Amino acid sequence: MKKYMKRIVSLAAAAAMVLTLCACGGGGGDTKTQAPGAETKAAGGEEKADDKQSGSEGDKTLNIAWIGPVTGSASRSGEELYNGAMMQFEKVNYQIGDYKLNVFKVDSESNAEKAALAYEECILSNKIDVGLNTWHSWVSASCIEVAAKYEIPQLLTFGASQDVIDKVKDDNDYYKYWAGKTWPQPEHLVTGYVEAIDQAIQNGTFSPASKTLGIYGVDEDWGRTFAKAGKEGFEANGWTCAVEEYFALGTTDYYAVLNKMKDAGCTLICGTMSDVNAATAFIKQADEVGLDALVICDGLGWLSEWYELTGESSDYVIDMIPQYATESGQAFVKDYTEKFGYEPGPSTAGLAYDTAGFFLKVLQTTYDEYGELTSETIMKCWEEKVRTGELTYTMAEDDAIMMPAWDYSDPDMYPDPIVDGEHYCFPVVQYFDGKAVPVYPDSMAAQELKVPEK
Amino acid sequence: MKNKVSGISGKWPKALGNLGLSPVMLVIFAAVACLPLFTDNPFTLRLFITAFMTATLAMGFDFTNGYIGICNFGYAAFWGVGAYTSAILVKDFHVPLPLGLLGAVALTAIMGALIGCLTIRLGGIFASCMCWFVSLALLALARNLVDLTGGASGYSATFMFKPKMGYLPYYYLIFAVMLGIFLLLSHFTHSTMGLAFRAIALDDKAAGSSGINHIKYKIINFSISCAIAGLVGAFYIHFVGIMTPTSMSNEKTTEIMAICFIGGRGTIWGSVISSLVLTPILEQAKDLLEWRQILYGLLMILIMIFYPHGMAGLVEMVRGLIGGKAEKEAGASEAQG
Amino acid sequence: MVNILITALLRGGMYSLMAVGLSLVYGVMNVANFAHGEQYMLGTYFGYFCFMGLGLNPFLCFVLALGGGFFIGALTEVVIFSPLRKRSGRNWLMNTFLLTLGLSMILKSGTKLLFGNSYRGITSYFQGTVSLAGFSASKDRVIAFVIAVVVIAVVMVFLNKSKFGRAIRAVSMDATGAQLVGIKLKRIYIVTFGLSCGFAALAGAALLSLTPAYPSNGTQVLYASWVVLILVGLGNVGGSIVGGILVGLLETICIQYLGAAWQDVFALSVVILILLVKPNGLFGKGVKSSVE
Repeated sequence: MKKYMKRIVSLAAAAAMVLTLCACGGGGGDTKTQAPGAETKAAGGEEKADDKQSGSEGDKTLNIAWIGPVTGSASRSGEELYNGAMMQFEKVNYQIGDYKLNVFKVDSESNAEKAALAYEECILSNKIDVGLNTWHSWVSASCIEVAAKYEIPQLLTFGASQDVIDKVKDDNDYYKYWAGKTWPQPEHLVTGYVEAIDQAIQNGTFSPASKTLGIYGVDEDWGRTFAKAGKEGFEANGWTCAVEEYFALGTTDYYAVLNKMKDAGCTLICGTMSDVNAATAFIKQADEVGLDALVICDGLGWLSEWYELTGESSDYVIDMIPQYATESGQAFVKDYTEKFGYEPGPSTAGLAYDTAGFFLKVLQTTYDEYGELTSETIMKCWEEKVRTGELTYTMAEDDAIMMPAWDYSDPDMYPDPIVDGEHYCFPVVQYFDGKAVPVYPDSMAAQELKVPEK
Repeated sequence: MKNKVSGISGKWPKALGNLGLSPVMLVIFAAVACLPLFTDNPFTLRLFITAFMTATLAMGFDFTNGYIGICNFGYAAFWGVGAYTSAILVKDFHVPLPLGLLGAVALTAIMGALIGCLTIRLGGIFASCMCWFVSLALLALARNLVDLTGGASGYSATFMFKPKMGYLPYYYLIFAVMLGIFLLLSHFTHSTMGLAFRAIALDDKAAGSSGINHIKYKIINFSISCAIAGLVGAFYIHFVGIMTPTSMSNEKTTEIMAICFIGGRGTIWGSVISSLVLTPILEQAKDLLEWRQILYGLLMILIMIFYPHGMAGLVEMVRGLIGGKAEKEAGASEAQG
Repeated sequence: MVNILITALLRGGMYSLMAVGLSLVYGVMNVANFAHGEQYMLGTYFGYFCFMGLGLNPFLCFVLALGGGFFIGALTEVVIFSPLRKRSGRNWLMNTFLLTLGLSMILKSGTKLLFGNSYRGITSYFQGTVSLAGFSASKDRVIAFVIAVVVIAVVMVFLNKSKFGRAIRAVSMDATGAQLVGIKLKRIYIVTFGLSCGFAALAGAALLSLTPAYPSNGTQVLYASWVVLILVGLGNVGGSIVGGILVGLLETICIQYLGAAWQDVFALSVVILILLVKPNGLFGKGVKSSVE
């Protein structure tokens, strides 16, 4: 009898835990676990986000699905993206016209399949009307199918995947719901670096012994595409690539590779690392081995603790980071830091803030023009106003903080926005004492590109 | 009189028992097959498609782990290879889809046989780590052969069925696969092959001296197990539409292992039950975020300590409680009479 | 040539330091510790908070990390492994593997909940670089290497010369026999696992300038440690140094001639080939049974 008692107790403990799992997860929804042989009920729990909804108790609601990496290895980015976006929603009190805005968080878990499953569940349980953002390119690849299937406009997605672009371009009617990418293809962004370096050579600031290039990148989508674009861009400008290296995610030891680059006589190193851990280690170690080259590290400023990790090794490092150039931008940084306790990363929270602002402007315009907010009217507004260039989001008029103007009217570039000095533009910056100083283009530069003394 | 191997009492037809179709399993399969008649919620269907895939993978994994005692810690890599193979054959080489699936199965079966060869002389943890290292190498290959596999951005595949057709075709296809694998593996494990596997698991030298060619059986086992992973992988990529190297990593293998162990290692049917139960539960628990991982970990620990036979053991215990009572009464009445 | 050797040595030293604890616990207690990476991760947090939070001398931080890790390891043994040991028979090794896997999930997510997702790193413990045969290496890196060597040397002396150390070796050879001669198993297990966890934490603290503290930084370490462990063979602690340097050498050679992206494939292929020839690892002696 004692043996049975023990087993029953342990069984009860395990069962209790399992029940806790479903009880917490259900959150008031109608969920039942499946016992062998029994029928199952449809599993649909409520997935309300932790937002505060003030404003009048109107009858009309607009259900918005926000997709991002809430858990998993990119959860820090997800957190910043969400916070940045929600600051815009709070400014309008989650209200547009007489519609209350309900935001539902869809956790992509940085996994394509799980994201699509969760997205679909959210659409079905919460009668989603429109969506905002995604982050990873492979999540975009699987969720674009779901959006197309249910005809949900998903606006302003991150994630630079060629497949997604091809789908939108080739089958513009089925995939039109995947509306607008917020991160252009690397080929468009690399020209800034090439021109900035060239300008420095032309005016004599930078006199390399030879135009020898080292290319590096983290072995994932952005790393590879950016590094390739960088290599082609510089080679077209007369540079020879002596070393080209890619690192698996999670690598933090670059001692050997940096020595290899030093041996090869590289005078310019160009590449990108997707996480701050890798990027800062790379820069510190470049200093450690005494690498005598200008270093371009695209994306170093993505997360805000990078300077604590690199210290002065980061001086003279070149990057291309959206800047909080305007007063509104500075105000945003101040508000965000007060609210969340750390500074917002410009490429995550800052961009999310702008895209959310644009999103809300689209909603407002839809409401003003068509009187109601539904998937159809929002899509119509996007096609008739945004894609024609009638509706844009600018620093001058709308208080955009990251870009001079967000404009999706160029059919060749679509789903990317127009990329140039007046529209989507990342200035080339150089870091000194942890501050990013814009050095190119001249319209946004604070000083000239500098080269460390030998 | 109980059938020792399948644990089913004598009244149940032996043929069905040998295929693993106990009364419980029959009811479960029937219920799940009829599910689409009661709900047309696409999310539920999609959830169960995921559950079926996981169940099949767990069964395939258990075939190696529970029966010849080697934990193939690189299992997810074969799943990934199957996915890539089928997708690449169909998209780049314009092979018709069924042949693409076949190609995936063939390649992973061969790779499985190779792994079997590699692990022949290795014991226990070394064999597991060998499988693990091979999978890490495969993962690195998938990332580096960018022109072939799309590298880290992943590979986009064509869809098996047109979107208009909804989830039903996928549902029944993967259900058929799951059922088919279940029957096949149950048959194998109840046959002489199964006995040979168990003998090898206990002590392969002793098995060798009683005439069992442990090399041959190990290779066959790995081959079948990896082919199953390849098949599910191929289905997966034509269902979800994309596969990335990160998806085929350790974490995926850990998920499969957890389902297998919680279900009960060494029982094919345990994996099915635990997948069908846990997949909906874990999906519901998404709101818990990090707590879900913690509870998941705690669950695994508690089960390992107190309940190593998993859900299968649970079912057995319940059966034992009922059967034991009946036997006691039978014994008592015999003693009296 | 020289630079390859120096790089390999420094990198290998890191790997050896990471692997030493794992080797100990596998050899003595037959535990496949998959929470090793998370124990390293906890060490990085120890190092960070001691150094940045309390402003202590780096060496003191290392010692504290060692102590903290020891405590956690001992706790794990008492709370988690003891109950399991009584219940498992043949499946002990697999069960510990799953157990530690569950434990690693808890540690990772728990840390994330407690400390959040941010990277907590330092630029360096000791500023500046050191010149080795014309190559410059940061002081931190060299010190980590020295620590690795010292730790392993101390462990080997301890295992061979001290009474307690010999008791540990006795247990690793034959637990029942050791019990028969009066060795208290429970104490041995607690100390061994405590030490293993302590060393992992020490490695984490020592390498803080290389790998900042954040919840998921244990995964790479886990892989590297297991590769070294399998390469070297069953519980051969001294062999960890050779194994670590060997792996470091393989990777460095690969980077030089094939490119960094291929280092995983290359190193693993070589390890696989070695295992084919020597199924118990380079220094492994005999196999307990086909299945643990």
